[in-house]
Amino acid sequence: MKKLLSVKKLKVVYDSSAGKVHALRGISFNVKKGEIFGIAGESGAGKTTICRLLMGFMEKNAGISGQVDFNGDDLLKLNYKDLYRLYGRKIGFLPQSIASLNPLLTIGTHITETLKKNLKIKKKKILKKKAIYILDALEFSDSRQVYNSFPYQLSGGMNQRALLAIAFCCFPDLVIADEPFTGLDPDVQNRLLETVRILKDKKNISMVIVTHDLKVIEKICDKTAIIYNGSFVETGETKDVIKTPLHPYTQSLIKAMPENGMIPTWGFAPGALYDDAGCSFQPRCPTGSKEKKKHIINSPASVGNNHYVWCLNVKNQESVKDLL
Amino acid sequence: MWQYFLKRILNTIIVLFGAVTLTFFFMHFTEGDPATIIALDKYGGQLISPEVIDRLASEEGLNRSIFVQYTGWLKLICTGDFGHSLRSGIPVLDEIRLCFPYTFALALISVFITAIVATPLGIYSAAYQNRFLDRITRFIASFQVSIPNFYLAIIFIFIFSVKLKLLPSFGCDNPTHFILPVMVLAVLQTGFTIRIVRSTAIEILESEYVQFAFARGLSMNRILFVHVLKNIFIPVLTFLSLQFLMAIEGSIIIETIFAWPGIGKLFQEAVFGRDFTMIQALVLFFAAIVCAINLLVDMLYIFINRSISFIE
Amino acid sequence: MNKIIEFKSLIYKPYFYFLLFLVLTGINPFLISGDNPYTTNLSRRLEPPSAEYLFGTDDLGRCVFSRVMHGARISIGASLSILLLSLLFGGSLGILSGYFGGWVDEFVMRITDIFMTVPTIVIALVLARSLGPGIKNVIIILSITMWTGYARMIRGLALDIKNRHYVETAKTIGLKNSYIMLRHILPAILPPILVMATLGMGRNIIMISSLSFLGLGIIEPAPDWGAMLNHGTSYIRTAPHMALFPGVFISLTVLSFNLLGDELGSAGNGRQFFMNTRNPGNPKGIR
Repeated sequence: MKKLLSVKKLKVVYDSSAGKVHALRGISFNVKKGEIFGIAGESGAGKTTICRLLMGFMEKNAGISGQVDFNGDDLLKLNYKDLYRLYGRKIGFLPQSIASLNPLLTIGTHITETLKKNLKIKKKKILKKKAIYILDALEFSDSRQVYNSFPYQLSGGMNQRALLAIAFCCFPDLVIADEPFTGLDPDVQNRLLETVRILKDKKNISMVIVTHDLKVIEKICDKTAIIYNGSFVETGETKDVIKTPLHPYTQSLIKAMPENGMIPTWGFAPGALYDDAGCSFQPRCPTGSKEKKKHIINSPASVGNNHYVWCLNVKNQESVKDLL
Repeated sequence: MWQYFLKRILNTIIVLFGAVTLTFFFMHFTEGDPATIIALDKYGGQLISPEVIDRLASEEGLNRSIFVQYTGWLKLICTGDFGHSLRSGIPVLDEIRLCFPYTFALALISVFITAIVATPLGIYSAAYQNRFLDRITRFIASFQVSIPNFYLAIIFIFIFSVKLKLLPSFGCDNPTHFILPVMVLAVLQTGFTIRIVRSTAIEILESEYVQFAFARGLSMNRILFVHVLKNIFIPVLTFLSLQFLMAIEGSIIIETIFAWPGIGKLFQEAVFGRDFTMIQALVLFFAAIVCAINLLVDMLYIFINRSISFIE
Repeated sequence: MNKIIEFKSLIYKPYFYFLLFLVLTGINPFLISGDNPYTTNLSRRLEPPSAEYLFGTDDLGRCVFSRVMHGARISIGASLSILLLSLLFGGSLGILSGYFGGWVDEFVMRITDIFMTVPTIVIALVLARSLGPGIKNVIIILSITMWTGYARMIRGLALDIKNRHYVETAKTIGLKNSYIMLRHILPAILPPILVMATLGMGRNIIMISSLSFLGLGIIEPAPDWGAMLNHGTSYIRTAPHMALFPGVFISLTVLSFNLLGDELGSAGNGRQFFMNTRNPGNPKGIR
């Protein structure tokens, strides 16, 4: 399978009144065609920054360095015009909340306007037909009625489903999802995730999902990266990362899941202002190297099957040859 | 909902009653004897004598105490009789009915022009913040809101009537007479309206649904003139109704300058001539317009925005 | 620290210097112009601007420049008096009705309703006609008409602060109402009041000159800008400078107050002026 998106050494540093802010400290990952890549971490770890970067929503003067290669284009270097060309058709966006629906437009208008712009369809009849087809594919019980409803006439779960329909209506190559399906009841969440899975398999869509909800990761992501304070601490296949977590932070995150007893992690994240090189998790590390010296980690330890851990306590089992 | 409107209408009646009471007593702060003043106005200095003044006073009921006059007048307006002008003798309602269309036309045309000019400018200004168009628009708008209407009128008369000799500066005979007063009103209103449209549109542009619209690759025009315009429609309409009221208020000065035969000029003349019945009727009329527009906007709110809540 | 930085930003604003200039000329008009604004010189009527008479002369041969400079004193002074009177009256009523609510609130709000329903200029004209012209009367008239706006706004602000937890806490520990109003509510609503007052100065100047323009405010021979404009309108064909220069000064003064108000009100600046709070600010780059 070929790479669709490849992010290399992405760094975001900017000045604020409180000092230098390290939003991202150099992260790299690849997403292949038809793959779902999940990024999990607590709030403030830089998840939203990744999303905004991938969408080109960042202002150009923020100190961004690195490379984001999408199908041969460097997203960081494209101007707005070229980015617009990609939006909708090549890159889709699945927003977090239903506040992303314009309250004064019907669901149908949302879908048809996207189709019209991105697929250059002019005829209203065809647009409507296509929109209804998409709504049908998303298992709405009454697509025609949903087509004509305003967001406030639908329930929260239905609006989320409508968001899915809008985000996927042009079947883009890559969909970026910023905290999708959070704050929904588990039943609705499960069904939505199932729908996403089916859609993705049908149309071979790649996704990047950014979330703090490990359940979402566990259910649909093929690969997962755990982000802590602006840098990755562990990446690999989802089943490896979730079932056999090696980094102490990943372990504590999994312990904090409801079914595992919701044990909170000791201490707080140092925040984006923390600018020492090395392992920023060291002060909270339960395995307890309490030495004053910072752990400098230049390269992650590989434990096989593309599973990488950024921790000194994990022994390198393979040479890190083709990192991502 | 009906209860809400009933309450609003009741409130309006109380406010109108308060307004007329207030003006009635404000007007009678005056030191001089109103009958003498009216007689002076009517007949000039040579012709008045104590007999004439007495006759006038008893004719108009001006020799009674203020409270008797007040209750008498209240009784009359409750029956719909606003009396007749002390100066011309014509029933005030007839005169107002004759003059109001002129003022109404000025206000309506100027607000219409304002809406057409200010809405796109404000939206573009919001979309391209701190770019050339935005800077120039804001620069001009800050001037527009600072120039007093009478000064703008004088400048326009100076430029277009005195220097260029293009447009007539006073009267109301043919459509060209509309141009200058409408221009003055519209220029003043666009300044305020652009600011409001811009700040409202900025709020909308920062909302999640507009960002989502950008992320879907929609064109800028589609976002600005469908997504943003639909959402600023109600606040801007409310503001335009305020501008309409401001145009009516501004008519008092504008119409005096341009000799426009509307209610503004009527009011100014009534004030100068101490035409008490006319002043009172006009104050009530101004207040009624304000109340009516406010009520209308509220009703519009409810019919357009179905999710409004009735907490009040 | 922050306070100085914020004031520093004003140093680069031209309107700040214009206002400073107006205040200085208001304090001593002869600082700039040597001519007496009342001295008539019929041999030199309606002269266009020249080196000797910077803004020309009017129909009685008086120096328009010196009259405009003296007008600053009237405009700024009267407008400031109106502001103080209406702010004091409206503000205290606003805080009281916002804090106590109940029938006090109901009563004050109904009165402001009445004033808001009738256009300001209408009330002002009616009052001006009965009281007669003159600076003192203009100040009384406009204070009577302008206080309602402040009362309403300050009531809203006070109501907002009243429901904050710290005010409720202050009540539960038994502080006196007057103490809470003066030490908890007033400081919290001061920044928006300052913005309101700055914008109010501009509005007052427009109202004063409107009344004078209609001949019901400050009248000749007092060198008021509005009255000069009114007077100059009759000579618009022969001596346009008589009307144009006073108007320019009205507009520039109002513009300066508006810009100052915008500056104070923008981006929490008004807060910083007084509270000296540290604003972490929106980090660059993230919208």
